[in-house]
Amino acid sequence: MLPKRSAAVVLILAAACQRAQVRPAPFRARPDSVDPGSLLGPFDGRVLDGGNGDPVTGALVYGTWTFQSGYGLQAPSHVREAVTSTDASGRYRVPRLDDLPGSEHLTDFTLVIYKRGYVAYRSDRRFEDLGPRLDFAQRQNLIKLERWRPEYSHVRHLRYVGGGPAIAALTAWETDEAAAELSGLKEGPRVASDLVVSGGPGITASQIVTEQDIHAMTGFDGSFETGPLNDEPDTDQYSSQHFRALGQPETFDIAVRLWKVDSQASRDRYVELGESLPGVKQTGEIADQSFRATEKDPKSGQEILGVSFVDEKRGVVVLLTCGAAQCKTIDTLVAIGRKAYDRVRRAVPENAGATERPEGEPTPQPAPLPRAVPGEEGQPPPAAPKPITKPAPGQKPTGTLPRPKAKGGQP
Amino acid sequence: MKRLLALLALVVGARPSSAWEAATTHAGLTEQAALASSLHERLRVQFAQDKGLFQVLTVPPADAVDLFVVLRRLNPTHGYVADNRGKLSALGWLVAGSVVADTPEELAANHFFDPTTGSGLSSDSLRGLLSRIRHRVVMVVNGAALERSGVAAPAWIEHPNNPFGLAGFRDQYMKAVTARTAGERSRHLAGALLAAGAIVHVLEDMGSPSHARNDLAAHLDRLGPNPADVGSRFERVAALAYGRLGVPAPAKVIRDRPLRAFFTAKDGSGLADITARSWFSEGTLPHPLDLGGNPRGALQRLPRTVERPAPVPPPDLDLDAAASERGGELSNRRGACLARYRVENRRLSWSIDDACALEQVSAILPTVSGYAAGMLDTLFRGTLALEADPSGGVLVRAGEVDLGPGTIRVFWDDARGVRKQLAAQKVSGAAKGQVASKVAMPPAEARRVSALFDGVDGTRRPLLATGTSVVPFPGAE
Repeated sequence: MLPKRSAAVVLILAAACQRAQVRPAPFRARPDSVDPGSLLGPFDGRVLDGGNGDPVTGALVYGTWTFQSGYGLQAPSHVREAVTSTDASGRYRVPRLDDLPGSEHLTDFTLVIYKRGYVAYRSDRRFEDLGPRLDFAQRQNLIKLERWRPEYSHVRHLRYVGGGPAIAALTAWETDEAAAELSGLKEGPRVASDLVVSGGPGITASQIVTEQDIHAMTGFDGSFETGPLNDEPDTDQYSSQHFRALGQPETFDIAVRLWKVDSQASRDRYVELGESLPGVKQTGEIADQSFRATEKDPKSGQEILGVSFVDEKRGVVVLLTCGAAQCKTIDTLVAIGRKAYDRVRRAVPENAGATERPEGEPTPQPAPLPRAVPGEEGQPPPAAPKPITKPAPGQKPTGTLPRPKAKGGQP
Repeated sequence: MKRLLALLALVVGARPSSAWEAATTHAGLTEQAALASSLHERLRVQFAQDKGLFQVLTVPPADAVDLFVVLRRLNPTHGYVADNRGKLSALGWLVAGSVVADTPEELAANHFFDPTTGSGLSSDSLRGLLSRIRHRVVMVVNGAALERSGVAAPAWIEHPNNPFGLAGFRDQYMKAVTARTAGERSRHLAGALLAAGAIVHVLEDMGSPSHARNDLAAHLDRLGPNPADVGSRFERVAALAYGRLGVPAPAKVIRDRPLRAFFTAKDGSGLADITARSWFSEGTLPHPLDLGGNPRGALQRLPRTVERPAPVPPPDLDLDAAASERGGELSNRRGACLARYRVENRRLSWSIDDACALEQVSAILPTVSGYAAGMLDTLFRGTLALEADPSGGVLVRAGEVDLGPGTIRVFWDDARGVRKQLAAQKVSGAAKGQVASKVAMPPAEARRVSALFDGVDGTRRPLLATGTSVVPFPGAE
């Protein structure tokens, strides 16, 4: 054993005689080369519009070198920057870093390209899936910028583009959008597949709140069985969606109820809800009017949280209820409500509630008010089994489950 | 996975980290935790920061010279470096806290905790003669010393020497509510977020096996051409594979619990408990085992080759695979690699290669960000609601946490945002939603009222809670 250890010590000592401080680069020297590049640079390339191939001129080019120091337990110690922009032919050049600090290790080089109207570019990560970028090259790098699309998430983009004074100034306009998106005030899908609104007058409860919303906002990582609630059948004027958390108590469930009537009926329905639900507090956070409601479930002792809002012009009333095990705070449910309202706005014309009726025709009455906490006496019997949209664990996707039973904790 | 491995292979020698790499992995974990937590809504509703996590908060560089010295060492493209005027988003300040918690480097020695012994890093942590010799040699060559002892991580977040500990968080949180001007309150809120980020960093380190198993030797891997460039290869693999942006979102946000219980709990549900019993670190792998002429019989001695109660390799190892060039793989129930093993010259030995480490990192990170999100929710869990008293005055209600004994101070802001104290009352407690305090109406020129509770919650845990409202109150006549 001892000779091996001695050899190791000798090797370490031999290596100590080197003076290299630059780590290997995780990118290639050129796109057509297998040789590793150098963190020192220089870096050059061309930036084109991903759609039409035109050069992108005047894009911000921001290069940074990162240094670390310390032995064993290391920490960032230094950073160097180079700021430039693309020329008329979309070309950029970042000069080589020549003067290195004495005892620090050069650990990273990062290149960020940004121009308003496009998705930013980073040399270390891709925007679409945030995975590692493997096509960055030190020289002759070719960058195709994707044009910004309205459905892209500003939260994601701001995280992606990062910061630095130059970039922060250029992306400041996005912070309002990102904040609204995070609050559920504005649609901001994290991925394109999150776009669910098909909308139209026939909008249903299942379209305004999705499983992805719930996962994103409550942090719940389990699965849901989804289907209508048992309180009333879906009609042209009423629609419901029950997210039943599989393998979890009912306090993990979420329910969405949506009424689509006219302005007057929506106002009446909203008032009726506010008078009939327990612990109501008017807050005005969403749409024309909104309230929060809370009630303690007598069985579990846990709270059931409620949020309702009305958009009278559209004639839409929404009631969301959520068990406290799923929505840790009522703020979470409010955020889900904001997201739901954003989809309502996008799917239902603004004057949809102002329906003119022939003289003498009575104003349609909304469906009866459901119980806030169904499952007690008078609860309608469970409906017939119905296909579920997502299989339970271990169940075939084509299988069926009984429709969610109305229980005391069903929110 | 293949692409990630290809990327790793591109790097001839991996690069360093002090724990999870602060600039990338910690930053990504904390970002994901913040996005999964209620912090955005807390900032909007409780602190009247309309843009929540994206609200720009300013800390004048002249007011925090040392902090800006550290911040200017960080890569600005990651979004956590304030500009020259000290402006940065709330999310940026939080993440900056999680990045600077390792600065200076010796502070990182306080980010270890072995739940089986309750101790932090100690001189015993450098296991093995080879590690000690290597440490000594590199220390002599470079004149650099590796801190070998520290305060246990759960105690560190409350330790008086911790510049970013709970005391700092509480102080800054309170000033974010009570300070006179809007600028001061913005500065202190940034300070509270910075401290919260640093506290969360210490917890995040508990997801790294070497930190939860007090294994300093795992931080002596050679990572670059310079012999002094050493650190944890495992944590560098995490940084290379996920960077900041690729860190996954929480699998599950851990719910409110005492702060120490996020680290360790009697039921074993603390992050350090889970990490320590679920994974090996490079320096705490099973000792080599001489199989002799009766390998199956020798494998019955495997439990004696580990220093800890778990994990323990089962005796039914695949010895045929172990004899192959690639070796065998020991996996957990979910199929994640715990370690690789090989038999050479009838000797069974263990290792964690990059591919194995990558599987571990993939399994660990979503758990870590879930704990970090829960910690953030806990730090900012206290809420108050203010409303008009129909009979005159202002009612302060307990928000989403029961209040125990404490003090409630109520403030009012004038049109310029200058804040003055309206009243201070000792309260004995109030259940969620119940009135905790009633004070007189503020002067007619008041534009906003705010309240701060400093005391304990219904379970006697320390609690700060705040709330605010514009005046006239919404909905009031």
